[in-house]
Amino acid sequence: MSCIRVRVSYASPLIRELAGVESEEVEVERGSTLRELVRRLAEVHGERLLTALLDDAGRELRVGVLALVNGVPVRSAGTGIEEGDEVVFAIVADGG
Amino acid sequence: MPYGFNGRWLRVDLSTGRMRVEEVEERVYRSYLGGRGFCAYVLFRELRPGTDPLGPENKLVFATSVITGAPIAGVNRVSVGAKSPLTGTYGEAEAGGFFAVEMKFSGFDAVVIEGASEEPVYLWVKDGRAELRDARGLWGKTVKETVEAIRGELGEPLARVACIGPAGERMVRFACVVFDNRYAAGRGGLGAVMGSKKLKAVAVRGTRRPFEFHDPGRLAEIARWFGENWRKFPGAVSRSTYGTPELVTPLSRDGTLPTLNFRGGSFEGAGSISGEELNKTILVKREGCFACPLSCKAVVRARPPYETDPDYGGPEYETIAAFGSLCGIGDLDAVAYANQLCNAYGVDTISAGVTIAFAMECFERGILTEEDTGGLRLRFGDPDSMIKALLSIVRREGFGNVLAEGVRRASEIIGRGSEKLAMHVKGKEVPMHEPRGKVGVGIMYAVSPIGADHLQCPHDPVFEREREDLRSLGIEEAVGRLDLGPAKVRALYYGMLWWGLGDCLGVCRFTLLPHSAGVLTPNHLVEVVNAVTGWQASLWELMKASERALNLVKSFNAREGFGARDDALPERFFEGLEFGTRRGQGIDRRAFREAVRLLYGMAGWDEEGRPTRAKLCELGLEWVADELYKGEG
Repeated sequence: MSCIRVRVSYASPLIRELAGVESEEVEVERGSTLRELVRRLAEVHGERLLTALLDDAGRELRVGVLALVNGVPVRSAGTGIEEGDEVVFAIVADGG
Repeated sequence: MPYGFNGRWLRVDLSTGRMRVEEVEERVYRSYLGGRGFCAYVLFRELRPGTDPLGPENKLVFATSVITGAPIAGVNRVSVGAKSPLTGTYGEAEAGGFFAVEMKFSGFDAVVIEGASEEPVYLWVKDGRAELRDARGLWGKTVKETVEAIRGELGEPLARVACIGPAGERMVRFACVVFDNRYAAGRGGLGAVMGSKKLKAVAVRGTRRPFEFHDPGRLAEIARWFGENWRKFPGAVSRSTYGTPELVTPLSRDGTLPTLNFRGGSFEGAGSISGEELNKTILVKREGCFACPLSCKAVVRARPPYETDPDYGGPEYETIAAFGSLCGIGDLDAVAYANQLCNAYGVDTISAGVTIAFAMECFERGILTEEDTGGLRLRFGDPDSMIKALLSIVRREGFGNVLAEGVRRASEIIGRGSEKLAMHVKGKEVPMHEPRGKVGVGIMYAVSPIGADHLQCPHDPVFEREREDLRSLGIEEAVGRLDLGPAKVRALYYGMLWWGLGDCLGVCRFTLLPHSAGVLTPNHLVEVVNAVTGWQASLWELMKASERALNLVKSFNAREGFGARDDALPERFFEGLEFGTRRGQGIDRRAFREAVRLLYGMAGWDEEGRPTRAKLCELGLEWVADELYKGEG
C-alpha cells in the first residue's frame, strides 16, 4: 500500500478547535478522496470533527462547510487528492 | 380578524400631535408581507420626489411583518424605513432583538411617523393605546440613559425602547436607531431622520398577544425541530460559539478582510481582533434575539484604558473590521470601546469606521494636515486617534463636523483628490466584505437600492457547491466566486429576491439557509407563513412579493433621479489589491458592467436600471407605473 502526504489547514475557529491544531501534514492511501481524508483526520482528532465536516450519511460535505484543494473550492467530497495537495477546511464565510 | 396580525397601523403626526389608527386590508398584507414591503408601500405612495430627508415631509416607518411574534428562531426583526439623508435614496435598516414582537403585541403592525415636533417628544404605545410624551429632559442623553429614564418614568421595566442618542439629535448623516441599548437599525442615517423630527424614542409594551396563530401546533413542531437539530449544522454551531467575529481570521487568510481603507485584504493583526480572541479575553456572555437558541451576540467587558459597559453588548464582525483592520488597529479593547461609543451616541459602526479610515488615509497622504484636523494626527494603527475622531464625529465637534456628513460629502468638502479614497456607493459607506475576492458582492453593492450593503444577497462562496436548498430557490449550477457569467448573475438575482423576502418578513439572515449558519430551509419559511396566517401561500407567491417590494424601492429611486451611473463601485475596486493573499487582484471593469446590464435585463429593468412598465404591471404595480411614467406617453 503506498501513501501520499497532504497538508491540511483548518481556517475557521470552530473547525480549528475540533482539530486541535491550525495545520498539519497527514498521510493517506494513494487514490483517496476528500471523504477518506476526513475519515482519516477523525481517527486522529475524534468523531466530532467527522460529524462537523460530513453529513449524517458520511458521504458529502455538510451545508456550510467549505473545502479548498490547492485554493480551489471542491464541489463534492468525492474529489480525489494527490501527493503534495494543500487542503483547507472552513465554515463558508458568508455575510454577517 | 385575520390570523397572525393586527390589521392596524398607527399614524402619528408630530406637527399636530394627532394620532389615528389605520385599518389596513388583508390584501395589502398578502401583497407586501411587512418590513421592506410596508416601508416601500408607504414611502412611494406618500412622499413627493425631492423630499428633504431631514425635513418634516419625510416619513419614518417602523414595520413588523405577518410572521412577527411566531416562536421561531430568526423571524422577529423590525424594519425601519424613510428617505435616507445619507444617500437620498429609499432608506431601510433592520434590527434584531425583541422590539418587533413587543410592538406587534402592543397592537400595531406598523407605526408611521409624519411631520416634525417643535419640542422633543417620545411615543409610548401600550396595549393598543398611544401617547406622545415630553422628552425635553431626555434630549442630549445617551442611549442607555434614555432607555433607563423612559422605563423609570413609565414604571414599565419591560418596555422595549427604540431611541436615538446625541448623534441622531445632531443629525449626523449616519446616525442610527438603537433598540434596548444594543440592537441597531444601523444603516442609512435613519436616526438623523428621528432627530430631525425631534422624536427621541418609541417605547412599546404588549402584555398579551392580541391576535391568534392559525396553526400554533405546526409552529411548535417547527420550533421543536429547530431546537433538536441546529447542533447538526456546523455553521450554526460556529455562529453560536463565536458570533459573527468568527469571520475575521478566515477572511484575512482568504485575502478579503478589508484593511487600511480597502488597500489590502489581509491584516497581520487579525488574530488579535478575532472571534477566538474575543471569547478568550473580553466575553462576558452570549445573548440572542426572541425565540432563537443560537444566541450569537456577544456581551463584552473590555479592559482599561478602554473599559466598556456590558449593557451595550459587544462588537459584531462588521464593527471589528471597520474599527480594526480597516483602520489598521489590532486592539480589541479599543474596537469594543468604539462599538460602545457608537451605541451610546447612536451612529452606524460601518459608516463611522469607513469614514475614519478614509480620513486616516487622507492624513497619511498629506491631503489632510493637523491644521485641517484641529491637531489630531490621524494615523492607521493608532487606537487613540481613532477614538478621538469618533468622539468628534458623534459630537459634531471641529473636524468631526465634516466627517459627520459621511464619507462622500466629507470628500467633496475636503477635495484635493480625496474623492478617490472615499469608499461608498450612492453615498453609503462600503461594508466589510472585499468584492475583489467575491465579485457578486460587488454587483450587489452597486445595484443595491439602499447603497452599499452586504445583506442584499448571499455571498459568492455560498454558490460554489450544488445544494438542495439552493435548488429550491432555482439556483441549480455551482458557480465560482470570481465568476460573472449568466449563471452567476441568475444566482445573484434569485439570491437578491430571497434575502429581499427576508427583509419583507423580518427574517434574520443567519438562521435560514443558504446562509452558512442557516438551519431552516426556504420551504420551512413558507410553512411558517401559512401556519401563522392560514394562507396557502407558496414560495412562488412569497418571492413575487419580494420582487414587488424590490421594484417599488427601485421605482422610488428612479423617481428621485437615480440611474445606471449611480449603480457603480468606487474606482479602487477595479485596481489590484495592494497586499494580502489576493495581492494584485481587481475586478474586470468590462465584465462587471456587462454583468450589471445582464442583471437589469433579468430583473425587467431598462438600461438605466429603472423597472419597465411591463415589469411593474406583471407585479400588479400599475399604480407605480402610472406615477413613474407619467408624462412619457
